[in-house]
Amino acid sequence: MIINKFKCASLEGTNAKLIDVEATFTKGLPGFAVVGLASNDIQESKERVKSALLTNEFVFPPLKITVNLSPSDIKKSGTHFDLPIALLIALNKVEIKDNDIFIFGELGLDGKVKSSSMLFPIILSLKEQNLIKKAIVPKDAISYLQHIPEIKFIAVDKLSEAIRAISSNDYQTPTLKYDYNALNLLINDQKFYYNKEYEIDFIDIKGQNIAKRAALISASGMHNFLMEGSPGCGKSMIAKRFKYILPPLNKKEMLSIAKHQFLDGVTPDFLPKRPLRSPHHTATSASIFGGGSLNAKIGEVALAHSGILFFDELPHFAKPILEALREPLQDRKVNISRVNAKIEYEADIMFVGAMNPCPCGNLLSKVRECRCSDLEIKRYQNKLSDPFLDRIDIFVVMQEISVDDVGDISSSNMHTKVIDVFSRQKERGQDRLNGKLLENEIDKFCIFEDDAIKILNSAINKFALTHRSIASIKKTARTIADINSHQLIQKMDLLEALSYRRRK
Amino acid sequence: MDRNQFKIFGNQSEDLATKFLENNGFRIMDRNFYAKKMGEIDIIAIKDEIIHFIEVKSSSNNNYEPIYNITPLKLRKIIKSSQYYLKQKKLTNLAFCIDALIIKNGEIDMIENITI
Repeated sequence: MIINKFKCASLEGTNAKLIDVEATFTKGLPGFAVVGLASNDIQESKERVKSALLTNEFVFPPLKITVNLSPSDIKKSGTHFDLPIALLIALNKVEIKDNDIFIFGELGLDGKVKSSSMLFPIILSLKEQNLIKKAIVPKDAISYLQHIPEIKFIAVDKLSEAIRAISSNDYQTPTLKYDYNALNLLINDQKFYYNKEYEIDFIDIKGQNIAKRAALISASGMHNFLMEGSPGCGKSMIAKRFKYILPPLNKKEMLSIAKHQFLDGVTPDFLPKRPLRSPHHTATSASIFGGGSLNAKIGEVALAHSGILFFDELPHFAKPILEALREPLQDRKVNISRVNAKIEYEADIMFVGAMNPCPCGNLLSKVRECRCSDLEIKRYQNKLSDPFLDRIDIFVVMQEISVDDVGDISSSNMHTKVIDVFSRQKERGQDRLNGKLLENEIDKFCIFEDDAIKILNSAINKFALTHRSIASIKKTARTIADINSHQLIQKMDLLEALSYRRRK
Repeated sequence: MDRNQFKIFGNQSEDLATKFLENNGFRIMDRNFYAKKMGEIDIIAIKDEIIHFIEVKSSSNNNYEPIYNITPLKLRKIIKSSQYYLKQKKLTNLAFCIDALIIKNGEIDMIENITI
């Protein structure tokens, strides 16, 4: 008996697991069973496969058909299993030699091969694990799958084309274009892409020069950033404009962003833009970090990977959410553990927060009077714990604007500076940007001049700085030195970095 | 039509079905096989080493589709009877399937492998 096997995959969290699809045809009362913890969408595929085969003039063999998805102990889902199952049945008398081919595709009742939003994340993840070389995929998915390099794709539009491709090696490979015309930099043989389009511009923000400078530093090194200020002084305006001035991206990061967009149900545009996620403060912790009892799903933190997670009205977020944010800010990953599902995903985010100084918002105002009692203010500010604030590199207090304030820095100017600082960091051989440096990398890259060291030491003594705060000051000082084109970190860079610490 | 006329009409349909099958390369093995209490199989035929258990349903009436007369209960009976037949004739190494043959106003339509 011939037992054919095709390769397919199922998504677990954000990673794909390799699944073998195999079928046996035994004598007995004809029937069709799919086994191997297949979810409802795969069970339903029986009807689609049956209909697609019958409309393409294939007879169902009068045998008992058992389709097994192995390894059989992990849950599988996704409609892309239709095509491999249909091919196994259509070619049950043919021995297939090519056992290394992956097959993905949902079938229409007429035998049309359709794409699904799971395909891109699955194939990208398989590529990252180095498992996939050749795949049969739906034709309408090629437009985005072609961004994944070094895979031989066979695009099919109908079930009959897939059958021909497998049985007689008769197929056409579509012409793919991996490279695109986005603006790019070439540093150490690596290409970094960026986009110089600004839907909203920093020039709209009047005054707030300190906050803008801090925003530039924060964007250059991807430092966590917190703004405090009266209502309407431009905190949210700054946060929204951040997205357009962020550092360039390499191909891998762009693909990872696209993968998360697919998981979010959005079709990506593959432009070099970092994401900005701003969940409302009523969001639950499951929606922010991911969760779900049967199959765990990713949350906002994952969707903000390699971009910005922006919390407006920071103290209004539930306390457990703010405390839970400590782990992703520190370890750059989130581990969701449920009884039935455990997933771990990357969350290398830049955190941006905005808050009022007190419940009524007028504490810092020169004109309006604050209506809050001391206790209310204390309670409000206590919502943010010290360990959480420790992870914020740059903290700015914003004053109300005055009549003669003008907007003089444009996003385009700021972005040019960010790109310039980005190149400095990459040319130094940094894998990560300043704000994301690891402990051992800080000692390697953040080198101070002698008089700067003295100031740092006295600051450590005077303010009783924690280990984490020292690291954060060093990283910020590094970025400021890069902006000021200093090879070593100088006194003025360090003093500016110290000025962005939160005062108690 | 009374009971007797029904039976005559049914037999005519089965004769028609047999001819149709023979013209289409089937070899008839048995007709009206009674598997004790389990039920009756109208036609048992073989083609390409596959045994076909065929249930014939017919109607002289334009307003009714005879396929609706094959109920889940009837199907279960056919399955049981077919297994009894295979065992009795020691044919267990052959593939088999259950087909429906619909005759409506003299037009024949064969639906193969209805259990899948």
